[in-house]
Amino acid sequence: MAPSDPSFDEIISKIQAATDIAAVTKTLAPYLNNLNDTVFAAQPSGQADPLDALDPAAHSFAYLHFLVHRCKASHGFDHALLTKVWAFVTSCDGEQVRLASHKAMSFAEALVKVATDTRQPIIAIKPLAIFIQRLQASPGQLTMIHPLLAKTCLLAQSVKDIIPILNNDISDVKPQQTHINYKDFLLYHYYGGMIYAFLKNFERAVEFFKLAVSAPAEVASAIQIEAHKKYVLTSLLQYGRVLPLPKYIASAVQRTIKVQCVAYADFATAYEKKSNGAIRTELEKAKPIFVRDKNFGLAKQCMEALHRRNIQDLTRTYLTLSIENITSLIGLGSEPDGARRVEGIIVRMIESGAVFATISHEHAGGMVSFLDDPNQHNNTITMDMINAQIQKATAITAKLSAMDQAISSMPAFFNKQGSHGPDHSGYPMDESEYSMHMGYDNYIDEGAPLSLIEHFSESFL
Amino acid sequence: MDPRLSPDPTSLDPTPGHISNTMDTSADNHASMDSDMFTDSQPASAGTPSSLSNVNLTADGGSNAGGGAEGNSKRKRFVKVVEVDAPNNLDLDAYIATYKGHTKVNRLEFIADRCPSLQVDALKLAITELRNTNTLHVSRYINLARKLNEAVKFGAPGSASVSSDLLTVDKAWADSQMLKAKQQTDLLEGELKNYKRNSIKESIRMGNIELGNHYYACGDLTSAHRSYSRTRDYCTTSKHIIELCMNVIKASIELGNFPHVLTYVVKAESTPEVAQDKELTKAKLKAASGLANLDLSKYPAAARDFLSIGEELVGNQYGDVISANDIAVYGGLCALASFNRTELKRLVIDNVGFRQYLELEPHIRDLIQGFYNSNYVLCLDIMDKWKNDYLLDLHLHSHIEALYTNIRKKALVQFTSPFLTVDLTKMAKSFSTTVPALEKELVSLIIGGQIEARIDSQQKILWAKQTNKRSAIFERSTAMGQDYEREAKALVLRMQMTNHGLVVKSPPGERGGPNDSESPFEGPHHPRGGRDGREMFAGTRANVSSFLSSFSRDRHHR
Repeated sequence: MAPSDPSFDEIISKIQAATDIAAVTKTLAPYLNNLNDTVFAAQPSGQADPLDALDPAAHSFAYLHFLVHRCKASHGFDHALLTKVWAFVTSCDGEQVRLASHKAMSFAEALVKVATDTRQPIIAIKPLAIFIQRLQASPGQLTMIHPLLAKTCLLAQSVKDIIPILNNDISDVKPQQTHINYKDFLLYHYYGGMIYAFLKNFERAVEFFKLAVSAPAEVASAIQIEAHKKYVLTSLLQYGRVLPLPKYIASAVQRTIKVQCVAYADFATAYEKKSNGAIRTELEKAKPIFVRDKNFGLAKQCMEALHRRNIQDLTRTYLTLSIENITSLIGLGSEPDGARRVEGIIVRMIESGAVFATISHEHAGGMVSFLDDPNQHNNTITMDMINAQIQKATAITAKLSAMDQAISSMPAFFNKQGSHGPDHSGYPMDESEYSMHMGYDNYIDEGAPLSLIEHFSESFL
Repeated sequence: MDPRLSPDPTSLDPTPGHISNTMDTSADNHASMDSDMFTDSQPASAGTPSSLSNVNLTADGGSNAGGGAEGNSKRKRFVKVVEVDAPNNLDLDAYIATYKGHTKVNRLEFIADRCPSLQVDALKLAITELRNTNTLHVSRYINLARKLNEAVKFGAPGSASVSSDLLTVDKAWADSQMLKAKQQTDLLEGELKNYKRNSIKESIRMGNIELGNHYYACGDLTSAHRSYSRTRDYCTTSKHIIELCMNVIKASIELGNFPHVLTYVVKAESTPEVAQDKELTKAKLKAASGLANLDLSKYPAAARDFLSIGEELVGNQYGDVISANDIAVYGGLCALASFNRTELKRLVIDNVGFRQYLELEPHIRDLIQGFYNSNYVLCLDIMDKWKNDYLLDLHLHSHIEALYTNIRKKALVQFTSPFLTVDLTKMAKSFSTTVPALEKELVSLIIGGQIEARIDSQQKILWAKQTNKRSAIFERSTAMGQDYEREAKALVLRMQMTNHGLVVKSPPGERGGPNDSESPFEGPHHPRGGRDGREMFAGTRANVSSFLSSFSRDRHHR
């Protein structure tokens, strides 16, 4: 130990002296940052473990410094370290940890590294999931740990612990607090989408890929391109067509997509036409590209979804139909045990509630009767659902209004407005801006929540 | 040859040598014709503006050997040549008497190409017509004579009655006509040049029109079109503009350039009308635009055009393009294919002007009445009976299938609309078809959303669909709520990202390839503080406000 380095006791007492967040920021942070790394790395034998002397909740900032090196030094988990990690992630103070977000990131990376080295990635997942929750200033905040956790989960194929985090939409990005950059955002949504696709929750997967693709961009990122490819396939799977991307998608991204994703666009066009043969040829043609992009699995699932979609279309046109007819109508007629496969598909669809039907084997080959949706929307479930949605919509509208107000009262906004001159000459947005204000004022006058509820109730009348 | 286009001084001044040169070529041609009527060895002498430039004796005997209108037309569609055994009702003489000018020969040739049983008669009529009008379109005459020879050789019906003077090409006459055409061309070109030198606007216009008329008579439609179009710069009154439009429309219809027809119809209609022939011009323009819309498969527009012609063309006043009978047929079929019952009643049955035309074609009137009175057996019967005739129509033939399908669909929709359940076997009988075929038709209609019903394929019954409006609204509003939430959230997030500078940028120092330089899966974290995105405030503000106001408005009025 270099003579200039203070002793452990000194450090510990310094740390313990800084009790509130202000002290940590002002005195402790510069002090610890100036210390040599070896101080934290050394594991003194015979002395008391400094980590034991510290309280992970009260001294999270310092605790983290020690823990990072402990994790980095560790090969394989020992029980003691695991306990300390666990104690730290469950009780640490998010505000203090955010002050040392570099350290927090290295801590997470070290943890994952140890876990993957020992081929037990699952060990890192749970602590990280909890760590994220401690670290977030608000429940929807994106932290730098998010993409790492998502990637680890995906590699470990263990997604149980990340699902609550994924289900909570990202609504808050503050690079000042969490030191994230755009890549974190893109990667998190890309991995998140893949996790949802893995769970066959394609609706959410589409959402996640869409967020990645439509992220603001000056140039297209390769992540966005890959996300768009998966977006096309998951969208086909879920909706049978490619949902239009939001119109604010960056033009650079749009251009690159057009060039890079030709095979996907062709496949989608063929798929939307629902003709079995054309899709099959298109799939064969695009197979090398899909395999290269590791999307062939999704594409194959699209083919199966096509049968389900075709059967659903039949429910709109037929009341009863023999299985034999269904088989030929959805284009499986030429396959050897098509009818049996179709019956299987229908049974599974009935079970999952995708169609409402009964199969009768009174006639040879079996006859399927399609029924109407028994949900008459006259029960409390519907009522609750609608209420929940109204509340959600009200909340988000209130948030939007607040943001709108906040922006419109900022000096920068006024400067911007003023710089165009008092008569607004040459201000191209003039007309539209005016009408926007009108719309906005209407909302404020009526009270946003009220108007929304009115709006909902009007639809029911 | 256009003097403006060619800077060659020899062409500016037609020397005797120039003429004799051309004469040599034509002499050669005749020599080869003498030796064998059926060879196609004749080289097209390109570059000469005389009728010779259009000689195109292909030996396929198909639809395209006309050399004139069809040879030059730019058809987008590939039209399958349908051979028609025999028309059911067509009286060739009466039919063709309603036409005059080029379309008469065009139609006859068209019929000859498609209908073996009428081939000889049609060719005979066409040749006689060409001889009687002293046509300058010699290549066409030769071509038709060759066709007639071929037909007689293969023993087509009616061959016995062909007189020998129609079979042999009157060479002397052809030569003299060709020479006449040539001389006329040179004369008119010379005159025009003279007018141009003197730059008298009106004379130049007239010269161009005369030259255009001459080219038109010679069957050189492209040159005619060009000459007509050139008068554009010299039009001084609205009458001139109308004249220009009518001429260009005439040439364009024969060329098959229908988008062009529409342009000039619009141009003519927007021109302040001159007093004389006002109604007639209007009617002609409507007819031309109807033809163009028909050709472009815009049947509703075509129907409206034909129906609004009025009574002006009852006496075949526009016989060089369309006969009064045609107006009834085209208009009637297009109307049936595109209008619903009320429109049919209002626009067709109660249309006094159009009734005049319907009187000429009583079966179309019966068809429309039958359709309106839901007598579909009668309708389908009439349609079936007259189908062959329409397949022999120059303009209608390629649309007959589409029109018939549309009419049939309309009939099916009308048939099912009043019933809660329909027995498919009975329905199949009314449409004289089989149950499986009917089922297929119905399925396509149901999928297309034109019939709200479902098929019980076990008992062969069509059930009208009972949609629960209340449930539908619940479902829709749920979806709408989700949409709103999702879009709003995405917007909030996006605003935060722009404000905090979380924007994809090409990494500094690696400007070369923005896509290649970034690997999606690795790459160091560059923690970077948020950029001050104040300049984006205005944009974001606009985003929020417009979202708040437009979302509710858009959805509200859906």
